[in-house]
Amino acid sequence: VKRIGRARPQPRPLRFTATSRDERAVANLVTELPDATPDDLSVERVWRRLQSPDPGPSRAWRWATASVLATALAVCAGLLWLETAKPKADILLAEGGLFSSASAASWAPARRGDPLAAGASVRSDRSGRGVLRVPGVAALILDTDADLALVRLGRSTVLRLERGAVTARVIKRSRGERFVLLAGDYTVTVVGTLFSVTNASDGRVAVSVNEGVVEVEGRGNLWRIEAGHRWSSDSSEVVVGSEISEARAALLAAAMSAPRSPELAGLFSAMVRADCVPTPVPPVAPDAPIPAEIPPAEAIVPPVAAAGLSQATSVRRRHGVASSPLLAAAEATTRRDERPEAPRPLTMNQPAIAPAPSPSTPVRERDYYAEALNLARHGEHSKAASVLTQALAAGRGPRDLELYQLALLKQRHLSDPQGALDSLQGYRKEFPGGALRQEVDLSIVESEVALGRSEAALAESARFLAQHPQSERADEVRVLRGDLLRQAGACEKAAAEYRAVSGGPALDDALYYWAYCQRQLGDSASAAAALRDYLVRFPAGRHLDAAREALGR
Amino acid sequence: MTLRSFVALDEGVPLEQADLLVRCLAGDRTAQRSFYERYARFVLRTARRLGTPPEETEDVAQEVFTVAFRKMGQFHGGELSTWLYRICSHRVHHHHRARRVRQTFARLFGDAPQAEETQSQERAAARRDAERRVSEILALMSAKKREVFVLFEIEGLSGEAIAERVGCPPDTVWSRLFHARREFARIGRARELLERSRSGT
Repeated sequence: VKRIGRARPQPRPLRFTATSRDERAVANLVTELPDATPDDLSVERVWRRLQSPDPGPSRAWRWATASVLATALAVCAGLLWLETAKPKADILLAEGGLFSSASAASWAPARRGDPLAAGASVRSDRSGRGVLRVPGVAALILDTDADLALVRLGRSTVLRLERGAVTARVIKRSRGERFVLLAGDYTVTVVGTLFSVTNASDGRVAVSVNEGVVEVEGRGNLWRIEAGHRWSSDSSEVVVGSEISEARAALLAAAMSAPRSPELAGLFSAMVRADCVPTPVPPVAPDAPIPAEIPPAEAIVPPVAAAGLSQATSVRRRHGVASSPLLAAAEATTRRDERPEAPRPLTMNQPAIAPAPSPSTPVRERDYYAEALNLARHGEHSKAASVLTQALAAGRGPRDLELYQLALLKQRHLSDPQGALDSLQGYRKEFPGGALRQEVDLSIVESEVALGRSEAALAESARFLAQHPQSERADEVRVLRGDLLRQAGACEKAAAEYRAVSGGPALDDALYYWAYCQRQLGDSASAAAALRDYLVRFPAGRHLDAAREALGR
Repeated sequence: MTLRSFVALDEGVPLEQADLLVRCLAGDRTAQRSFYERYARFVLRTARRLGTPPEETEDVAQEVFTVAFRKMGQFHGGELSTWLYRICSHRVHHHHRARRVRQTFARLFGDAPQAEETQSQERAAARRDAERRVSEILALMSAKKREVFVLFEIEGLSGEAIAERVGCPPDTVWSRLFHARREFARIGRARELLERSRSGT
């Protein structure tokens, strides 16, 4: 091909060969060019300039000015970038005694939305809890009686847990983007996971992993803890079993979302509720000793998932069945602290400066709330209610939790809906913006239903839907309203309520009863269609037999 | 590189040329003047043909000779005019780029470069409109296409001569020329710099 190409005649300039209009225009333009031969004067001028090269102060000055300006511009841009790109964390939710400090020098009550820069610390007392977010990196639940310092935020995130417990969800980190949690002598390095870390006041550390992998390094050893396992520093063994509740996991997942999730408050209250509500007591050996006396509150791990011990482990520990050496040691600590002559000394991990009220100040007063929870877990609901009533009268402890817990006991175990309603109304009055408000509103509806006051229940449920339109319990409330209206004979209104149910488990009832209402209203065709739809959607539904019977199958 | 090694290594350099270069490197003003007189017109003409505005042509020539005298030790044989052409082409390209930056800033700040404009206007009478338009188009072309277009269409060099000067195979010259013509016409059309020529046809 090349040979053939070379054989062809070489192109000629356009002024000889132009054919198209553009080519002719170009050729004309080129032809019009004047002779570019320089004159002698020009040649001489250049030579003179070469002989006495003018350093060109003006040009040098221009360059210098430009350099200075460019440098200044770069510095300004760099500063601006540093300011805007400064990594920050924030407090998503705060409840009770939660405090923050920019430099660990002065503490101020933490509020929702407060920004936290690197170097800040967050601390909770026995009534305080918080959800923190490091945007794009992690969300953390700071439990009661905990102290967390944000050592570094940015490409690598380093936190230091001085004491207490945190549960964290961390997004998958790429190489070089480390998420490190320092707890005592141990370094917990995260790849991307859901985990909790406890730093007990005496320096013992426990880690529980729900998802992903966590590496713990300390005292010359390295442990790799995989999902579904936990580890404690006193046994130094990784054992099966994670202790993070689903409520916590759901809350953290919502907290990770970039726009603030409307479900956060509800999930938070659900988590608190899950931590508070007695869980099924695990099998206990008949001869397992049950402490006759409830140890002082300060001496035990705080009641609500405090010190990183989940409900189940707390229950086991209180039954004297320590699940791990850490718990056994905690038990020992508890007993040691019970001795009046041996007050617990402050350890290295405890903060030097504490907010008022100091979460680390030894308190020797009775913890009614913990006592009541313990009783409730053992099925002694009347005594638990009595203790909570005493607590409320004494004005001690977390009043909001006490009111809510008392209401639950009365509503679910003591068949006292009026008493429950009084407690719930008390909560609503004293804590109009409390974290448990949504749960309280729902419980009020349930109490009104239990009291047989349909009108009041309908009014309360309407209020609930108006105040918590995004609640995950809204569909349940709609079904409840539908039931109340249906029982009152208002099938049309009931059908409207059932129809408003968007999905989820509540749809089972909603669809069936909507069909029922349609039949009552005389629209058999719609009712039959809805029932057929029901059979398709819920092949194992609660109303399966009734639906089949209604369809004559 | 010392003068001795320069002469010893570059055996392809003609003796007369080598002698001139050695003396230039030694700082012999007479030799430098001789060298300058031999190539000054070539450099000035090349700079202008490559689209340098007349008011900048002498600046380019000064820069070319400054570089040439400084880097004469790096000349490794061949035609001195080719070597100077390469230097000239680089300097012209640099000037085109600097001019575009200046014009961009002038547009950004809504302020035309007064000094240059004034200078241009003062000399506008002395230069032909066609040259201005060709310069404007050439300034917007890529360096490689500009070179080939100028050397072939304006200077009338052969393909082999152009290949030697720009340092590429002859086939590449024709390929570049093909694209250079199209680019020249496209820019001329876009900037309406061909209009007058069209009307003249």
